[in-house]
Amino acid sequence: MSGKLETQKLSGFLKKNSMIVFSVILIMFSAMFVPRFIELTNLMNVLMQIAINALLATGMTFVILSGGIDLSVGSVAALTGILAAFVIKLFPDASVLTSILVILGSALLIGSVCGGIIAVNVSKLKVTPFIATLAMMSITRGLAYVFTQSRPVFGLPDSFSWLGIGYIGPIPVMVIVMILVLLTAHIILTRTCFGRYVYAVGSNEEVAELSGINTVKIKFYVYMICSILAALGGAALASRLQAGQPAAAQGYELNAIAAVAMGGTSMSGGRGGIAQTVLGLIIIGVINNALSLLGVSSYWQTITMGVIILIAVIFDQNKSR
Amino acid sequence: MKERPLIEMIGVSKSFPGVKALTDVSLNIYRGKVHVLLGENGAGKSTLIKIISGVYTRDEGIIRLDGCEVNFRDTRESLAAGISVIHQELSVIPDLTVAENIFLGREPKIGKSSFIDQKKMNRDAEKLFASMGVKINPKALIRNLNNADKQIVEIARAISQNSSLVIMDEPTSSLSEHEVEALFEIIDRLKKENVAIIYITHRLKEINRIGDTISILRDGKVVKTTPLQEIDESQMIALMVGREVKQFYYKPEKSPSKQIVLEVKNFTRHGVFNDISFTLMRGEILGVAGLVGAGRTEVMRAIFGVDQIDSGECLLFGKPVRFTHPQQAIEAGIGLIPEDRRNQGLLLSKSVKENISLSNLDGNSKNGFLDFKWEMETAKEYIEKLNIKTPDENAFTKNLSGGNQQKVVIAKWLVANSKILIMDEPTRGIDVNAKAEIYMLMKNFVENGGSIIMVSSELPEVLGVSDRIMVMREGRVSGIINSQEATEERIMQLASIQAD
Repeated sequence: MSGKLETQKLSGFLKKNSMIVFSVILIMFSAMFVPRFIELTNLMNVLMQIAINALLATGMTFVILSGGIDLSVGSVAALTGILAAFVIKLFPDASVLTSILVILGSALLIGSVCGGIIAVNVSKLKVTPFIATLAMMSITRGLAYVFTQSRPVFGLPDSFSWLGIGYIGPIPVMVIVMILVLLTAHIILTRTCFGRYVYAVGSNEEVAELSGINTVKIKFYVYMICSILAALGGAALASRLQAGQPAAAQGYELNAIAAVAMGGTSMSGGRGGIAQTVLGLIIIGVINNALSLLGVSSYWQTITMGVIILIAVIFDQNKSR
Repeated sequence: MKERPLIEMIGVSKSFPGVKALTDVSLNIYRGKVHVLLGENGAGKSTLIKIISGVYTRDEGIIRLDGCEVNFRDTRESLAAGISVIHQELSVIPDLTVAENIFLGREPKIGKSSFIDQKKMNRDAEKLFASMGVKINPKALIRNLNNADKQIVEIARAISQNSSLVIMDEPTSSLSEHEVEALFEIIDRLKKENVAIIYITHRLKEINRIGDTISILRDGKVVKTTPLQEIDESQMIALMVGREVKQFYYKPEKSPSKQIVLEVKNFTRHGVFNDISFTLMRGEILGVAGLVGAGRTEVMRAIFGVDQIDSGECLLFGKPVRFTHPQQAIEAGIGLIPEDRRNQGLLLSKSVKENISLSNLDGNSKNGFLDFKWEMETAKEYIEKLNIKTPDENAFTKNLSGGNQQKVVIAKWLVANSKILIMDEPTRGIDVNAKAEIYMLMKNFVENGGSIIMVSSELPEVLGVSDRIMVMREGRVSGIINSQEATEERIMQLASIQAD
């Protein structure tokens, strides 16, 4: 009798946490069949590879939870990378500290300007997030090409690459940054009034408003956070590439949205969170890494990724019915 | 020999995991008769109509239509067999025209082509409305109609399908008295055309006006089926709740003090309401009556700071205030319980706990961090105080019955320490037992020094609960009367447009 109950409990757990199960199976399969996957250096590599997407996806989690979407994150990232590269070029002998300050400064500047414009459009002028951020995506990408005359900005001081490829002890700097950002975001969303209000706005904006929540303000902050994190991701990418490239981070908005959606965060807002996004990031990271190790061409990787995302989400959808 | 029933249900049962929704239900529905289904929320009325219309399949029992056993697998099959359902929630498409909605899925075509014959469709709709004795422009967008007209469009759709059975699930819940009468006239016409009608309602008053036979459901069983002549209201209630309800409306025992807590002066929002002035006393329940569309909800929204006024003044506890956001109104001690509980009052996908705390987080947090212990304890306290029936404080509010959902909304404002509650249709779609509990809560609230403005379209409720009654008509106050002098006729006179 108790055996039956146990099975029921287990199947309930599996249904509720299908994404956890999926990622565990995925990792187990990769460990068994993909050579060198389970080695420590490779696992660190996986984390390194998802780090930039993690920054974008964290901001995206806020936006999607609030019931919106941000398509501009990839372009905002590219523009920030270019600004950071231009500025650091003025300091050929820059120390690591200077580089970090330049990176943070550019991220804050571009992030808050772009985020502010999106936020005003969405929260005050009631432009739908899809359109407001689509416009911003087009504008920032265009600016990136205009400023660089579509040529990459090369010749950056070595110190500039510390964030992107440096290590603290055995751990890459970017992995530490990623963990800090994810952790902070998680705490904000689950433990603060602001976080609770983000969920409330995403669940039902009218109810939130009638309950005395300043939904305009909440949405404003949400888009600011998203853009600033995207900008930070862009600066980190430039640091890793040792160049500001106008075509950088193309399609990154889709990777970020994929990570959020795959983890099981509701695309209509109100349900989900950073834990889910982390799952999505791991799944995407592991798939990409395993396919690379297996020598699958990057074109086929993209196709495989699309198929797997679809399967995973269909799986998740049917469970919630 | 007796007339053969149109629908014959014998021993129908239906279970869902963990619940027995219907047990051994047997019913006969006859042509040309209105068969009323009465029961509390959760008594099984909705399950019953969903089984008749093929949304659910029955576990046991037989359903015969005109003598032949039927097993509908979906609503398309039941519709083809002549059964149409008018749901409680309006299911018309806002961006299509009236005629397009009526003929949705079976539009008349030009010849044998795939093109829609717009002219014929509009003409047919017009004919249909003429036969119903109503006037609605077939080319109007649904979006621009009021709720009553939308409801009529739904009914027209059902009639145009030449249904032999029309099921109406609380068709009057969004209509005002005046519009209800128009609906009843349409039902009378349908009866004359030998259509069978199943009518679900919570409004006892309507039943005698419209019904021929009544079946009362309780806990998934039919406890009584009888011609309406043979039963009175108190028997209905007793059967429905399974015991005698001694008192239904609770009026505060203390009379309100003379202290004015809220004074609204010449409130005007162009095109919506005009020159609204009234006062609210400490310990008073002020009823606000009027037809749907008279501007009652809009005035309340303006007081609460959701919508802005063009001119006018509002004195709260003697001080002039002008709220530009509900946040300010809440801080000043006002709480709003909106008319559409599911879309405006509650976060349905969030827990009871999170809904209760929603308006009170800022004052009960430490440096912006949530105080989970406070939240849980407060939720538990109010679940007990208001007798909210929920498995625990973490249950989703969407799984609660209407009455318990409403109590969660009320709890939110009690936690926020509101002094004035604006309740817009506080008992809409709530069963009798829960209604009585809500009235009790209102009574307690005003006896402890609070004040309530209650907007309601149910006249017995307005008369039964209020100290004074303000009647609105077309965006203006048409009268404020003491409840001792008020009668339904007097209120209707003030509310209806033709009374001038």
